[in-house]
This record gives sequence, structure tokens and C-alpha cells, in this order.
Amino acid sequence: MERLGLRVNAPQVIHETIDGEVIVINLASGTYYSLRGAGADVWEVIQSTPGADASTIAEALARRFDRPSDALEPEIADFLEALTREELVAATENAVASIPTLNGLPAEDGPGAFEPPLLEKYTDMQDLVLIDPVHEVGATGWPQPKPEVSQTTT
Amino acid sequence: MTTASTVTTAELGFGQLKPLLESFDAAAKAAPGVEERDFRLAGAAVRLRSPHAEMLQRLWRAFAHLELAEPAPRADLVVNLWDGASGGPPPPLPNARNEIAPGAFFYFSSDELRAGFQLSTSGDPRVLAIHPDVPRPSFDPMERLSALERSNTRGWYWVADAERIPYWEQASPLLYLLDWWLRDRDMHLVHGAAVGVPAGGVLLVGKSGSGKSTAALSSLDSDLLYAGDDYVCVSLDPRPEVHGLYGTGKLMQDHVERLPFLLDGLANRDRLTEKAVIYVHECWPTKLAPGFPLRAIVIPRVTPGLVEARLLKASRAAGLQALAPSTVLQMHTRGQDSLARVRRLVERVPTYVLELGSDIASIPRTIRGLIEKLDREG
Repeated sequence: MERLGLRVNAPQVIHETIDGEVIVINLASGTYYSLRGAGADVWEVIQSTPGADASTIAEALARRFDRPSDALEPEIADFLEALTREELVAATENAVASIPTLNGLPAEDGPGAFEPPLLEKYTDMQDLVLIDPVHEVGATGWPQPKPEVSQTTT
Repeated sequence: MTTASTVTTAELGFGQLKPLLESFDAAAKAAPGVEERDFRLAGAAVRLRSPHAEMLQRLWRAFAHLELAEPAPRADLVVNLWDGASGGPPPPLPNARNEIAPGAFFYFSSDELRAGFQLSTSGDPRVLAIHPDVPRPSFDPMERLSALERSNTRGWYWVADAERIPYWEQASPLLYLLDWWLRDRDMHLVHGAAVGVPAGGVLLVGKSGSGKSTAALSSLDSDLLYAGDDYVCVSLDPRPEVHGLYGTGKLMQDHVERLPFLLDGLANRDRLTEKAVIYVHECWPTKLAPGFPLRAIVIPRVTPGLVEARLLKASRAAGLQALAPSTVLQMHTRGQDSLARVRRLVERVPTYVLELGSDIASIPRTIRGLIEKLDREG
């Protein structure tokens, strides 16, 4: 597996987890996603441990589900590729030294069943963003360079 | 906020208070007087004031149901309204000459104020969401600027020509400005409808075309009260509550066919090819509620073959997915904090799917039954 550290592609990607499902919104494209099964666990590793690479993520899930990591790696690699393709995650040079522990694990009642990572994509809101794009305006009236990533503003 | 695709420049002075104040003051001096109207929103007094009486009336109409019997001794928010024909110089505007998207949103934020500018509009977003293939309006510039001082007590709304404010904007005016203001008051403007009784109500959520408007407007022919069709305000503490904002409803042609009693209330009966707007307080003055405790999130779903509406328990994740994307994406300047607020909301109240059948009268009856059941369960 490629040893590429990953991070959530914030601030253009926002996310919340509830009851084992992650809702992810890509503000730049107007696309939103549901991550379920082991997909929610993969997301938890990426967002809690920026810089985790595919091997690290597979190892964290192997401990979570008490399975050999090389048995999980192909599915996880495909899932990470999909997250990257959708620009929900981005590469980072941060390195992670240790394997992160997923929340509450190992569980008292056992490791639980591994469910393949699932990424569902919804495009029905794209018009809202694509028709009405957002621009930030410089304060002084002078030209400003285009930022690589705009800042979250409240 | 929604990420910026580019950074643009502005006329000198854009984003500064002084030129805004000077522009409005010049318009006020050129007019015989400045009219004011006060209303109460989520426990706060809001004052709209304008030297342009007709502009004030157009934007006021959606808030008229919240009017205060007496002017507030002190307004929590004062919004100044004027247009390019009011006299005096226009406020400084962003350089939007190279933009080809009519509805592009130009956002500015500083320690002093927040401002949003649109060169024109791409059309009613609800119509476009349901019928993405309808022809877009031709690019006919009609600039509008919203600004809110960081102190959260003064706002400004300027348009190039008040006579050309589109009907959907008149039905839900000052949307961005009120969104910023409410967020700073720890409240949240959400994309949804709300119906209920004084003891409690439900938030109807889902994308355009899901049956949300049908479910909300069917309540006008029932014993349920109506708090809004498109956008309502929600507060979470000490308990989740809905606060009505706009006393309007927007309908497509098929809504009018399924809810014929609404024909009496249509503000633009002669133009049903665009979208029908009703001002609820003008035809059903007893049907509007300023708000109520929130008991549940309800996701309407048009269900072919079904007759009587019925409820199914749904997951909290389903509630988050039905409410969050449209709430976050429609307001342009939302980000992670907005999504987190929606998650906290769906954690506090249960979520149901409301399957809609052909018997429209069963919709408010089913919602009423749900509210009573949840009240009994405490």
C-alpha cells in the first residue's frame, strides 16, 4: 500500500458523526456523502490522527475488529482511493508514529463484526454551489493572491 | 464558510462602515422621512427602517405577523434599507465585472462587519432544485448588498432598484443578514418548515420536492398552526424551540392543485408559471404561530400508492442527512459549526419519516397525533 499520510480536506470538507454514520459535505462541490460500516472507522482514524497512512489505518482497524491487517488492506485501499478521488481527504507530510486506538476498543463484548466500508454519494444539492459560486472579497480594494484554501469564517 | 473559488477586489471603502453610513444617510436626507417598523423575532426586537416607503413595505410584508403592537423602546437589531434610486451615492461594491454566474455570492468579513454581495440572481433556488432544466433568467444585473456590524446591532441592505426585488426574495427577505445575526445569538436558521400547536411542533425537513411544503401548507386547513415553510429559526437551550421567521409559503403549480383552498391566498395568482406565494397572515391570520417547543424532526416522503399518511421511526443519522446539506449549502457562509449545530439538534429530538399518500387531510392529522404522542411520553 502507498505510504501516504492523509488528513481531512478542511475547511472545504466538513463532517459530523452520529450513531456510527458519518455525514460529510464538500462545500466546494455541493456534494455530500454518507460513510458507514468500516468507512466510519476509517474516517475516525483520519480525522483524529492527521497523517495516518493506509497501513496505519489498516492496522488500527485490524486491532478494532481482531483481524489480520493484510486481510483488510485491499478494501481499505479502495476506500481511501475513493475518498481521495472525491477530494474528501488530502495528502499531508505529517507522520504518525503510533497506531491510533479507535473509540471504545477493544469492546467489552468483543471486537464486533467487520462491515465493509461504504461511501454513498449524493449530488442533488450541487446546483446550489455550482450556479451560485462564492468569492471572498479583499478588504482594501487592492488585488490579493488566490489562497490555496480559504479560511473558515464565522 | 463555503469555500471561496477566487478572491476578488472591491471598490475602495467596501467593507468599511463609514461609506455605508454615508450612503444611507444621504438617501435619508433626500427623502421626506424615514419610516420604521418593529417586529419580535426569537425574543428580540428587530427594527426595519427606510427612506423608501415602498421598499420597506415589500420587505416588511413577510414579517408583518411578528409586528410589535408598540414600537420597541430599544431595538436589538436595526436594519437600514435603501436602494439606488433613493438619492445619494451607492455604497462601495465588489468588483464583479468578470463574474459570469449571475447569482455568485461575494463575501467579506472583517473585525468591523460582515458583508455579502450578489450581482444578480440565478433564479428561485427551490424552483431550480426541482426543475433543473428550466431556462435560467437572462443576466439582468440587480445588485444587492447585505451587511451586519460585528456588534450585531446594526445592519444594512441596499439594492440597485427596489422595484425589481424578485418575488422569492420578498417572501424570505434579509436572509443572509438574519442568518449572521441569529448565529451570533446562538440560534440557527435552518432549511425547513414548521407546524404544531402552542405546546409543541415538528420541523419538516428535506430537499425541495420532497413534500415538505405540501405537508406544511396542508396544516392551514387543519387545527395545526404554521410557523414557516422554507426557513425557520431553531434554538437549542434550555430546550429545542422553533421560532417562526417568514409568514409566507411558496408553492409550485401542483401544490395549488392538491391544496385548492390555498388559491384564495395567492399573492401572484396571475403568474403561476413562476411560483405561487402566499402571505399567510393576510388570509389565515389565526393560523400563524410565533414558535413552539420542538418535539420531532419529520422527513416527508411522497409515497405513490399510499392513501393515508403514516409515520415511521427513523435514525438520527437520517435526520442529520435530511436537514444538514440543504441548511449548510443554501446559506453560502456556513461551515463546520453549522453542521455541528444540526447534529446537536438531531440528538435532542427524535426523527420520523412521514410517508405522504393521496389523502392530504390525513397529513396534519398524523402530525397532530405524533405531537400528542410525544407530549404524553414527556
